[in-house]
Amino acid sequence: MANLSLRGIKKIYPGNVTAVRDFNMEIADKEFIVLVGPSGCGKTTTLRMIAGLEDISAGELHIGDKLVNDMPPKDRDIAMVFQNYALYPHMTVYENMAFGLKLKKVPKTEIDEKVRNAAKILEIEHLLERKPKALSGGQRQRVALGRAIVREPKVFLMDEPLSNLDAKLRVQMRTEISKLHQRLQTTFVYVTHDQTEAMTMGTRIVIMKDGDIQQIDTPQNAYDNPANLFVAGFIGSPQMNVLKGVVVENNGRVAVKVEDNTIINLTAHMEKTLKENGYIGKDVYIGVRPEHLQESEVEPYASEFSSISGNVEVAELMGSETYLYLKVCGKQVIAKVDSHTKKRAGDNVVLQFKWDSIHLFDGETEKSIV
Amino acid sequence: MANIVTALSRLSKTVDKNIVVVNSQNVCLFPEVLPAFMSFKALTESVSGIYQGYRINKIDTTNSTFYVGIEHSDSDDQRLIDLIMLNISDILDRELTSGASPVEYIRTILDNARIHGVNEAAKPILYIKGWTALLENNREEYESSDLIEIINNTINAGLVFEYRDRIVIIGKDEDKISACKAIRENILTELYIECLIAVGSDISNELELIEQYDCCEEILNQVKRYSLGSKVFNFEDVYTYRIASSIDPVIKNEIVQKVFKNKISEMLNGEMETTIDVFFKNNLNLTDTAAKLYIHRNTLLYRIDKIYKSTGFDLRRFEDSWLFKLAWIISKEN
Ligand SMILES: Nc1ncnc2c1ncn2[C@@H]1O[C@H](COP(=O)(O)OP(=O)(O)OP(=O)(O)O)[C@@H](O)[C@H]1O
Ligand SMILES: [Mg+2]
Repeated sequence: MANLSLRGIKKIYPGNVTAVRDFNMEIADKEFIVLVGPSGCGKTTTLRMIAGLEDISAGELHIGDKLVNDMPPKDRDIAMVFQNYALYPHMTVYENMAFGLKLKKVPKTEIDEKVRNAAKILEIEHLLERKPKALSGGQRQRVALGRAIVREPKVFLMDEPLSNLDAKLRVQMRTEISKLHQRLQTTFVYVTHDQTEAMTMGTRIVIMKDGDIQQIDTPQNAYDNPANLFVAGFIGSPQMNVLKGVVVENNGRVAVKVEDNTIINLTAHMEKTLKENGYIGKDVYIGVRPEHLQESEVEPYASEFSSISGNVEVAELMGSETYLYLKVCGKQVIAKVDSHTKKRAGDNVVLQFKWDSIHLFDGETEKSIV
Repeated sequence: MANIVTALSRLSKTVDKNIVVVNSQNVCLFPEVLPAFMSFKALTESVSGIYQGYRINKIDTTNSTFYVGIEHSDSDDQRLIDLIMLNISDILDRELTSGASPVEYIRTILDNARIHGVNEAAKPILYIKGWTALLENNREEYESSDLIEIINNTINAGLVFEYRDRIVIIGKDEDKISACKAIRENILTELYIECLIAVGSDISNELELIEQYDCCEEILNQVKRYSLGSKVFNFEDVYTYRIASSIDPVIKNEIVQKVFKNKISEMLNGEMETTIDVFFKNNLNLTDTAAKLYIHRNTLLYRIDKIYKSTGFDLRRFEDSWLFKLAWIISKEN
């Protein structure tokens, strides 16, 4: 059993750099938590504090029911996997996995059992007698994971373990690690700057920025209900389209008027929330994901739909779909439309979107409104 | 070294024969210089033969190969030659290894160099080929034998031994930086200990080892002075820091004042700090920096402008950025 509890965790580096401000999170046993965010947001620092490689400046860290702030890493029941996985070149796969246990003076029979078990989980039993040189990149990565598995830790900590692999292998290893998590039934804390990795692997993801948690949620929820403009932009690819507008009351309806004076209508629920919270006349950001923008041949003000229009700058054919890049109100807007679209650069296009696909953010705090 | 010369000259007098000893790196150990009528190449190629009136023999030790020339005469008794060779072998052995392992010998010469400095006239004797690195770890509780075992298994190791709470590594891998990174990773994975490794240049004998040891020590000093973290560093990595640290303290203070005006605390909030760091790391490239930080290019420009407004330094201009960077480095000195 390894639940993790991070309470008011803070890290200030020498020189007074605050890398992590106030990290609070309860991680349940067997969760797969992904820390994600742009460079310098404090992901690695947080992971290193959990590992014990970095002192915690303030707050409490519990692993299981133990306060571990002052416990050295080797006693924390964790295992780490890194970006660069070094193997012992002259040892076989078996020996590579056994070596750490041998250093810990674990009895031979026990080592053998653990190594074979790990090999089975990783499906590398047939490679045990090979040397690292005779392995593919993915196989080597698996051996590196095997070295962590044989320790039977309560928590696996991984810092961008896939970032050195090529794109194809990365996708493959992503599923491998998810499968591994299911088989091992232990807690994983995984760091990445890649939102796709976070979305596909995490049971919950922690989106960070400048040392602060922006949102802790399931991938689906973070995607559907981003807590603020930053999360909205960070999660999802291509990025959510965002336009600045002002809330207006028009013929008894509350709507958002964007910079080119286009009126965007909203769901009744949104209207109510905006009105009740005094947003009339105030600035807001309105966001729509590229996949929710569809080419409209229908009348623009069809019920439950709003629309924007603009000139196509680039049409990018992706095979299963086409990305249309257009300028609306001086801002780039991307639409993921049917691959059979006839629209090409220079064409004018009307894009419609359902009201309930709209996201609204406060113009000042950038926090989600609805 | 002096002992070798004394011992060999005594031997030479006793048997009344001239003796020449050179090593495989073309260093003449005895006499002071190679006789003018000899060449290293021809001498070392004449093993078991006669060269310029000298009978040439070879002695292999763990770390070096020696070539011995004994003045030849037709009346030589083979037993005499054997005896002389045995003697020379003994002398070299005693001097090189103090009767112990080559590691003991190297430790002794490192110690001597620490105490007396490197003797100008010293000649290299050992043949130690590889690159040097110095490993330091920040936690006390570890078994150095475990560290050494990991290192030996990770790289193509020449010699690895503990010296003054650090581990000296002589490795032979082609890519020394990758080799040292692998060492670091493996130690971290197995023992949960983070190490700092300074990587020096290639060496081929013990004098160069002393030189590179000092160089590695200098790297470690700079890394610690500027809190660069427990990673793998070579001399180039710390070069600018070395320059910064050698600046006169009065001038240092002046530079920091000139650049930051008293606005240093403004620069040092997390967001600004990261921005400046990432901007420098990405070669002052706006697009790359904005992408890494996941901010809009305009946001980045706004931050850079903010720095310009409060300090008068525009980080996009080389003239401004280099002095800013210098002040930045100095301000982070421990
Ligand atoms: N040893 C250190 N000393 C001082 N500041 C540090 C140190 N390590 C990290 N920082 C700073 O702490 C902040 C967070 O760094 P961290 O490495 O945790 O970011 P990250 O989210 O892992 O970024 P990346 O995606 O680039 O790996 C950054 O501003 C960084 O410059
Ligand atoms: Mg990181």
